[in-house]
Amino acid sequence: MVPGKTVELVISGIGGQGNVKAAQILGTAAVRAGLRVRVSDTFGISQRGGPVLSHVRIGAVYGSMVVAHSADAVVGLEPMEALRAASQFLKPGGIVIMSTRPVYPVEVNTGKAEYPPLSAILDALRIAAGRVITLDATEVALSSGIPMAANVVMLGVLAGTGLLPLGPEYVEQSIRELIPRSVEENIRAFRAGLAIGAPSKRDDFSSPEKMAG
Amino acid sequence: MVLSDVVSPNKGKAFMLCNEAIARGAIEADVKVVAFYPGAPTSEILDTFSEALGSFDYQMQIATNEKVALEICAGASFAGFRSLTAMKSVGMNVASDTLFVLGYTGVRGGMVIVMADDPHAHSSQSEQDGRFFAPNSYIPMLEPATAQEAKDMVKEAFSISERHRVPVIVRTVTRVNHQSGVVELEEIRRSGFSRARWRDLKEEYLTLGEVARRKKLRMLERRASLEGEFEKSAFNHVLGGDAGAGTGIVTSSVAYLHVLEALKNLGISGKVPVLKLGTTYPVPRRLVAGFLKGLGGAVVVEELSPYLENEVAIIAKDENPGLRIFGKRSGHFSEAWELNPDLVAKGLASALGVPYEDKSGIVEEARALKEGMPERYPTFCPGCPHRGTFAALSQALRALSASGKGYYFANDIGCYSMWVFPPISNADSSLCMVASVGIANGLSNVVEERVVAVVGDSTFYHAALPAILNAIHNRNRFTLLVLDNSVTAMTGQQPNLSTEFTAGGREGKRVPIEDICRAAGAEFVEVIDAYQVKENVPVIRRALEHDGLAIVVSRRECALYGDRRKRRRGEKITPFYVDKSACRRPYACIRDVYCPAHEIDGDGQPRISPELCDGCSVCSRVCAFGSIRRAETEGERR
Repeated sequence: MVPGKTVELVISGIGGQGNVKAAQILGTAAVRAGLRVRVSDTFGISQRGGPVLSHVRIGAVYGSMVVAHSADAVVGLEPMEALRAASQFLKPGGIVIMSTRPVYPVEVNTGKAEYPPLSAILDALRIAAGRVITLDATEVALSSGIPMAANVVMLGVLAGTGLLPLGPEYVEQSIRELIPRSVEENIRAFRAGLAIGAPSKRDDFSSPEKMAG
Repeated sequence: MVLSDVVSPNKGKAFMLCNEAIARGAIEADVKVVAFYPGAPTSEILDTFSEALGSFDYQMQIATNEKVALEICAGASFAGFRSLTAMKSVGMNVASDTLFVLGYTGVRGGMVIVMADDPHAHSSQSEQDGRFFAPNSYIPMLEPATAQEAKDMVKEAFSISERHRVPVIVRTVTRVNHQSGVVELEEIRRSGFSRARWRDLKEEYLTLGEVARRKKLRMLERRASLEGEFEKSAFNHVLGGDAGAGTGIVTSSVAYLHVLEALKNLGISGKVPVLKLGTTYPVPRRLVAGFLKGLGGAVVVEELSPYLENEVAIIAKDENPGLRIFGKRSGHFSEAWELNPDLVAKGLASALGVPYEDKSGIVEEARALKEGMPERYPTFCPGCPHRGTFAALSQALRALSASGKGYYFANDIGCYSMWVFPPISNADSSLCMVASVGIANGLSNVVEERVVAVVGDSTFYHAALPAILNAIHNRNRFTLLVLDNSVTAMTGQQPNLSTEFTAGGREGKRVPIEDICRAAGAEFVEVIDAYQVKENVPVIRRALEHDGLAIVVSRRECALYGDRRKRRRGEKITPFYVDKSACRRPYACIRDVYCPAHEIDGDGQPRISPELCDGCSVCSRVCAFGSIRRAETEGERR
């Protein structure tokens, strides 16, 4: 945690995954911690299924949009969307936190297009990123008793990396404020993420076996 | 949203979405009447007022369309009450008939119109630049860049409106509405509401012929006095600049933030003078002239049309004829799509002659892979009733095609618009709210094919009636599907006339669509359940054969809305699963009723994700092998 530092984040995912809520939780946490913050959300016409992108700038002075290739971290709730966001916003040496569970677009499911292999996505990300943390956030959320909380798990991982200029207690406080139902399960999911994000030699948590080890 | 922040009576700081800050600002300004028709990117203004309705005594109506919403506010304002409406860019097209007249009649109580343009057409059918409504209607316009400024401007707009007896437009863009930041809350001190006595207030709000000619002169005087006031407005300011800087920047709205960001990244923060305009109609000409004086060049940074650029060029012609103007016409910025900090940095660097570092090469690998990735088209949610309706419609249309008769399909604006995207990609046209029915009135008389038009429930109430009545009266022959999912789904499931609810969850009278159609004299009106795919095919086929207007109302509540209601009632959703031993090609579940809950499993057969499945049963109804069943046991949910 580096107080007073500007931190640029991009959260990417798909409508319904809780992208916007995650950005809102971070924004609220930053304000409670006495920091300046700007957030910008992009979502298209659909309530569900379309790509969603949130920009979170903690300590930012001006706008709410992250400048290309300047994000300290890209949090991807879905592999393809993680890559899409990273290729546009990640700064060289930045952190990528990616949930490995793909959500196949229509054309993949109907056999008209191919989903890129996870290994290719990871190879591409590792060239640009300083650290790539992979996990199945839905699985972690499930083991915390709340399958829908993958977004909260990802926030935990992000907080665990030490990148945020505010303590995890602020994020927990804002989770309690903004998620009315299943609060304790959400806190559990956040803390499970926190442990995963903590600096370590091993960053692949994508299967439960590896997590146990 | 943290509702407690919006309704807190005290001073403080809160993290808010701009749309919430707009609502908070109006509540602080003691707004008494609000009315809306939802539309992205303004819908959260409506939602915030709806949620806060229990805490205050303002009146709120979710109106049938933007024009009615504007008129509700005008009515309240005539009686001296402060009123606010908000609408998206294209909503103003619907409301503008009244807007133009309000320029003539004027108003009494402060009246604020939030109008949100959508550069990049994130959630709209066009990138129209609504700023031109202001000069065209002689109605003043303010443009905020941040959530804080939006709140401040809304409050000030009420005062401007009352001082000049005219509505005030607060014009935003998607990137302003959908940004969140720290907002200063001021104390909320509400005055109580009591009805006004019109006989005490009585003054005329009319315009026609001779009266209009007189009032036009008053409008011109008002414009002059507004311009004079805006010369001193705190919403306009000049920032930085080295003594003798050759080039300055004129900007407004979110582009102002991009400019600051870009100057920082180009390493020239504070060196180039920036004129930030918050009052963009009337443009304070003396202020602009003073800024341009002595400059060799001016870069105008704005989204969409060269609105400010035109103003700058006109002012410069008298004040600084040699001024070089960099903007849309010089090719430094495009009129197409939204700006971002990088596009602005690139344009500024080129205009100012400073180096710009293109960093896109650093992620070449990721970019190359990205190019080959499939698009993620928006699609119907799991459980969406439109999936079932369209499955039946597709079958009926296939039968029609097989019999040698073709069809024209007019789609429209709503969640059903997504039928134009893969995997279905079926639509001959999709224009704007309810144009489908008007188009059908024209096409059905001039093409050989059967014509099918679609609207939703909210669109039906919004503006479909004139076109439907036209069809009945002129005996036009086409099929109209009204997809009634109870709410205005696409903008966040706001209640409309199809439910018994209205703003704040209060009770409203339901207005059944089929009753209106029958009362109007439509001879073929059938109501179907969107999920009953097989049973619906023959109904739609009969409609297609009907010699006249055939209306089919397909009813089933929006899945997102319905799920919320189910959760409240404590009802559980039982997902479906694929019994793979019975599953055979051609996988109609994937081909005909594509659903995000379906995926192709490792073994090449379809699988239903129990986390995503809404339990709607539509896929099971199109499977010829009966292989999709309700997962009653834990094992079947794997």
